[in-house]
Amino acid sequence: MYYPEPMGRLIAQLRKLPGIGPRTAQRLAFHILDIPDQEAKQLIEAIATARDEVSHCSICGNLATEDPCNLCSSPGRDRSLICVLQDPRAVVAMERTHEYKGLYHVLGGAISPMEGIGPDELRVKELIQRLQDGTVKEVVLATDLNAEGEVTATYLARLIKPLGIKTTRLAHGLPVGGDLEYADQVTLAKAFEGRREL
Amino acid sequence: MQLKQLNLVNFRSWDEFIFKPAAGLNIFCGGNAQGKTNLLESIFFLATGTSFRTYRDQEMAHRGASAFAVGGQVLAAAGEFYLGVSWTETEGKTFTVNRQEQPRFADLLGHLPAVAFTPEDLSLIKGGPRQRRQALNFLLLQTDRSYYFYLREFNRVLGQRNSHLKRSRPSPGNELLLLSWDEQLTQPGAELMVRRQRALAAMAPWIKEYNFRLGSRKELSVFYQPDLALKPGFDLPSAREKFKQQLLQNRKDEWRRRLTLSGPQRDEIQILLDNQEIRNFGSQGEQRLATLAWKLAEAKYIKEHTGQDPILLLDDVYSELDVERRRFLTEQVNRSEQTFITTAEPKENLPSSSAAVWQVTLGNIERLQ
Ligand SMILES: Nc1ncnc2c1ncn2[C@@H]1O[C@H](COP(=O)(O)OP(=O)(O)OP(=O)(O)O)[C@@H](O)[C@H]1O
Ligand SMILES: [Mg+2]
Ligand SMILES: [Zn+2]
Repeated sequence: MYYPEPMGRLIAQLRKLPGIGPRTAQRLAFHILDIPDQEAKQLIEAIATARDEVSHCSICGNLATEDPCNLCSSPGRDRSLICVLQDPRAVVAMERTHEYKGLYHVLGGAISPMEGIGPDELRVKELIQRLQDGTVKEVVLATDLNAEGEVTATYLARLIKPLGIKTTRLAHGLPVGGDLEYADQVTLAKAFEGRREL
Repeated sequence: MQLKQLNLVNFRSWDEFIFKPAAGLNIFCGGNAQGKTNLLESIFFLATGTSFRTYRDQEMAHRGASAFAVGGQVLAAAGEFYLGVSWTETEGKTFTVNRQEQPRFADLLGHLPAVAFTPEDLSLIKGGPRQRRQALNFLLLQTDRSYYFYLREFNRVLGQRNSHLKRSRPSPGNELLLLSWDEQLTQPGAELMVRRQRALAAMAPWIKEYNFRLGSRKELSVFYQPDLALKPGFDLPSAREKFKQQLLQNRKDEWRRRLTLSGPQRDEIQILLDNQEIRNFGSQGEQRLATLAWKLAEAKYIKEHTGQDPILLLDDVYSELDVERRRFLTEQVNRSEQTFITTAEPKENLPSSSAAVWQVTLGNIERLQ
């Protein structure tokens, strides 16, 4: 590359981001050099603040600025219901439906032996712990509808049932192999009404 | 289906080339290494986006060029269109319909149905069960959209299940997980078995008939032998149930060998000639005839399922066949909409027919008849 060294470094950093190829990285780097000083400072500041202030809620595993997060500490949520999801993006999709009033539990992925991900790599123990005091009456398993998500859901159902807690699975309207994150709100709301017992 | 014009740019031995084949039978004559097989390969590439000789697309680029392309004016039942497939070192493969780039390369299949026979296809008879499964998979991929989905899903889950067996010990928790993988595996697995059974049940009588028509006096029988002990004519629920049972029965062995030991990944297709295993007892000519009968049955299957008569691409097909059988084959393929045959035989040795006969010499092609 024939760029001044700092420019080359910026491009190299941008290239590490997901979905960014060499050409896009170049374009973004030029753009960043072109924008007003003020805007560039805001970008740097936004990255730093997000990284400093956003972490995971120690109860539900969702992204949060406080611990516990405001979903976990909200008095308006139904504490007898926990919805289990693979990642924080799915929580956002769920919240947008305005259909669900319970609590969440974010696993941080799905079981995938090929990638070395088993139950120990996910927040499974934390989930079982949350179910011990008898408050929770139903666990909604809303992992993705592909093989990995299904295996995770059936596995969790088999762990949870002996505790005497009802487990349900989001069932209808979602495309096979579809990720929850991309499901539109109407289908998601419908899926929620039609959840089936596991 | 008919190819009215073929355009090659940097495809193997051909740098730039335009060729207008005839309808019906086209025979490419010529000495060794003149580019006859390359021509068939280019048509196969236009039809499927793959080669019948190599997995490395790069090898098809003329003298290491960084790009190559094959295009063709296609006459289909619904009308004419221009199909183009190209490869570049940086972007990989793309295809166009009427010069419009198409978003998903996987959608190429089905635009120009084709069935190829190359001498390597004798592995269908001589090779192991894997070769036969692959041939059947490829046929079903071309004719059944959901087969692609089930095959991909099955292979992925099989990979996960095998990884699980490899990475973990047989604890109660891991048994639970294995049971969950069973459920994911048996569903697409049963779909594959049912579809394979249905396809082979349709193909078997045709294969037998074509083998007779090509001059054999022996009975060629093809049977689907699923790895699971299923009764002929089984349905989806029974295939799934049997698969589940078998997985449970194999638990101990699977944990010991750390591998999934039953399922459609181990299916076999049995081919008998007068009730004997053709791969052990058939002569060269008999095996070649059987392979050709299979291929002609594939073409018929594609026609029944897509409504299009696929283009036949037959590489070096006359060798090992006697005069009479060459004549039968020629008569048979003369009936399909368009066929391409290559041969190193001189024109005088070919069975007489109304075929267009072409002389191929490096970089050039000339009509003899
Ligand atoms: N990528 C390539 N670039 C240039 N030439 C190539 C390339 N790949 C193969 N060739 C050449 O193409 C020539 C013709 O090959 P082809 O297989 O078509 O011959 P053929 O006419 O079918 O001969 P035969 O009768 O022996 O089967 C070979 O000599 C080979 O070296
Ligand atoms: Mg050849
Ligand atoms: Zn929380």
